[in-house]
Amino acid sequence: MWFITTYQPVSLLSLKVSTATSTGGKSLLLPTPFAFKMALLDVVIRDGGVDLGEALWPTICSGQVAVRGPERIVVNNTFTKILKPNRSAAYDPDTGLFPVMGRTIGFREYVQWQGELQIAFQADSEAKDWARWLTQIHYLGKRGGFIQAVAPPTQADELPDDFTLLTQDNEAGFALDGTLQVMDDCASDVRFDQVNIYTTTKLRVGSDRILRHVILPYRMERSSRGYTLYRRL
Amino acid sequence: MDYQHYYIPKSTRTLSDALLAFGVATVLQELLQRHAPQAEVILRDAGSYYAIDTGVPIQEAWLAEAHQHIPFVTDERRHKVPEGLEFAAARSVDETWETFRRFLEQQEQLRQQVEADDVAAQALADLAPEPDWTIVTYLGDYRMQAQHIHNGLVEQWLRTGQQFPGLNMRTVLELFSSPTADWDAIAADWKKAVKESDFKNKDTVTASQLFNPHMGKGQNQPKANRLSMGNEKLFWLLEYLKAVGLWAAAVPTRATNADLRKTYVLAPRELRMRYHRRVFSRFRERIRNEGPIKQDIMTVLLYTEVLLEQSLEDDALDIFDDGRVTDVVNGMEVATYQLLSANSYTMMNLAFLGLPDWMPHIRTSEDARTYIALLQEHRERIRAIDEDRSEGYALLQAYRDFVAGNDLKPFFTFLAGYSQYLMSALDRKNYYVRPFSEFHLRRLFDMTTPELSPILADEGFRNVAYAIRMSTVTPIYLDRNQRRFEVRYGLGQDLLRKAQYPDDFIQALSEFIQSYNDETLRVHERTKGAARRRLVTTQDIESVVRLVDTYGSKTVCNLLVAFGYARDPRVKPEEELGTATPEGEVAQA
Repeated sequence: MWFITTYQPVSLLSLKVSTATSTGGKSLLLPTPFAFKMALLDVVIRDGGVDLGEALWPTICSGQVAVRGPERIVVNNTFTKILKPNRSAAYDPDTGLFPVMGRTIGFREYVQWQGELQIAFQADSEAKDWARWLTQIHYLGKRGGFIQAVAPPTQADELPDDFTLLTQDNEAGFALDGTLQVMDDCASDVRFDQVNIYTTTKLRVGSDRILRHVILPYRMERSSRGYTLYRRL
Repeated sequence: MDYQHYYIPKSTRTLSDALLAFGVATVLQELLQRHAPQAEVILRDAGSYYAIDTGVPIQEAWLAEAHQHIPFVTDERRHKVPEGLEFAAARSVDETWETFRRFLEQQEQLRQQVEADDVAAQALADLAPEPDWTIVTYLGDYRMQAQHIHNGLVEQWLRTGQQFPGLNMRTVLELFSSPTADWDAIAADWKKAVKESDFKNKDTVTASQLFNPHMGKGQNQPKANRLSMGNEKLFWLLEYLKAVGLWAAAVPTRATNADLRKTYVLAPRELRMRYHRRVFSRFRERIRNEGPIKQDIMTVLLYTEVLLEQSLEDDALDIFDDGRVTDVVNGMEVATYQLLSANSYTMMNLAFLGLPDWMPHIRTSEDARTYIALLQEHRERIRAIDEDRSEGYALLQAYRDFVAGNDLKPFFTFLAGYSQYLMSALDRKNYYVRPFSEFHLRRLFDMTTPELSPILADEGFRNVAYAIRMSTVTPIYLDRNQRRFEVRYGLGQDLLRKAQYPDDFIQALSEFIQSYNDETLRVHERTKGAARRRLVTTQDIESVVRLVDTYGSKTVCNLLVAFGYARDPRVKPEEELGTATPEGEVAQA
């Protein structure tokens, strides 16, 4: 069963490409399965507690995710103030502290969706509260990337044609026309303690956090130094 | 495996993808040059991938031969050609700078000569640095922290090529033979093949921000439970190919007025590699450092101009296939680096700039010449704008959005601002700031927005634009004591302010026309016919009103200001017009 939730952007979003470092904040156009699943897990834990989150994690982890993006997407290029670890933390006589973080600026992209984003989530569990939890997702990606569900999710047996499935390798072939994005997802056997940020269990890129080449149906329409405009095909 | 078609994914949406594509295309081109010289390598943008067609299948037997694609970049202090590779090509950063300094000195001497002779000009040409000299100095800039990585890649290519003939080239072909190739597995195979050698732990290198601008030293953790600063690692062959791509298709520049570097990399649409070399070499020779915004503008304008010039010279307009410039090259990927600390540049912006895609069909040499003239005029006008002044800065920003985004809206903003900038400059006798020519402006609008052509062809519109011109840019060229007609400063801005509502606009325009006609008659009478200019007639006004009804007041006003402040070479200042009486009737405005 697919749960299809429609979200509207409340603010600009930013979700760094998995290969980008903090000094090169290139953003993805749409949320990745990993980002969505983490947001859903967060909602489940806030609503039902850590035990429920842990119990439902296998379902969330192996769930299928598909998106239907907005009509147009604008990526704004800017920079923002950031903190980064000091390589040589010297004593600050003004405060009497050894500052471990230094202030600097870093490039960031912020994404504006013109129109609604639909996320389809297929869970193989009979849990009744998926609809409620899906509407409680309020931000994706970088903190402050707020979204708002505009209605309870609709349910469908089949994924509508205009959705792009993000959680399967494209073995049948590849579409040349579109915009390629490297999107991360959880491997099907990732355990809860691996995604639990209060443990030190490792989450490895490539084996636990897998990267997929997804071609989104968008074409760059216009661009300049400060922005890039994409239109859905 | 198909040995003729190769695919490079655009997985980063940065200049890194283009560097990789050019790197692969260059390596294949050089391979073919030795074994199938007639074959043509074509690099094509296929949406989510770059696709390469080598024309003929690559033969297994060709792969064993080791070949150096890019030189070592050496200097006096730290970076030398490694031992055992003394035969390898190298370029010295110090010598490159020295050559450039000598070239500048010679250029200065030549400039001071009253009459430059051919010998001196030839001496200057002989001293000119190689077109790709900026790549040497770019890599040699210690603040980019890439020279060591670059040389390490060249060394590894040569040494592994000697020890494992054909392995590297075979791996390159495998990496790009399919759009869905498993790069991790192919990299693992390479590592396995060299495991008995000194290279067993040298399968990855630090991802330099020069080749991967989005991967500078910083935080990147797969799990948000710790924070640590570090470099990313990538398969070395990918990085080597990006280094090759840098030499093939990048133009590094330095801002003249800021601690800032910009690197432009060509984003091809459908490019023959052999032809690309000719065009790009010429482009590199002509590009100069500018301010940050002007640099963006000049780069895209100049590349388009050079592409057209070269195709014209080579009688090779067929590269456009009766289409557009962007059917050959899409634009430029740009990375901007700011010097935030004394020792390293930090990437501050990643963008894509489109080429000025104004002419829909480039078919004849006449088309190409017209286009070149148009681009030259725009380059000259932009060059005269002072980026260090706030109004110049804002103008250039608007123009960049127009030229890079092929968006006419910011061009109207630019033209409105430029009208003021122009009047202010001319008033201060800064005659190097010049108006756009009416002819080229008309061509530009005819090509980009043919739906507006009826406005430009309208007699009434042209007469009103003439009246604006005769009240602004034409009289201002005269000395104050010679002027017989008033210069109306701020006229364009006044009209644009009223353009929001058609009624307000028509009223403002009518007031101007009435005052213009009054002045025309008054001066004509006072000078006994010595000074004259055409009157605006009632038909002209009716015509403009009809245009406003059809196209809207903002569109008509934008165009009136654009053409009103343009230069019409046929119109001369009023005192040169003789003693004829005013033409037309007095408008009942």
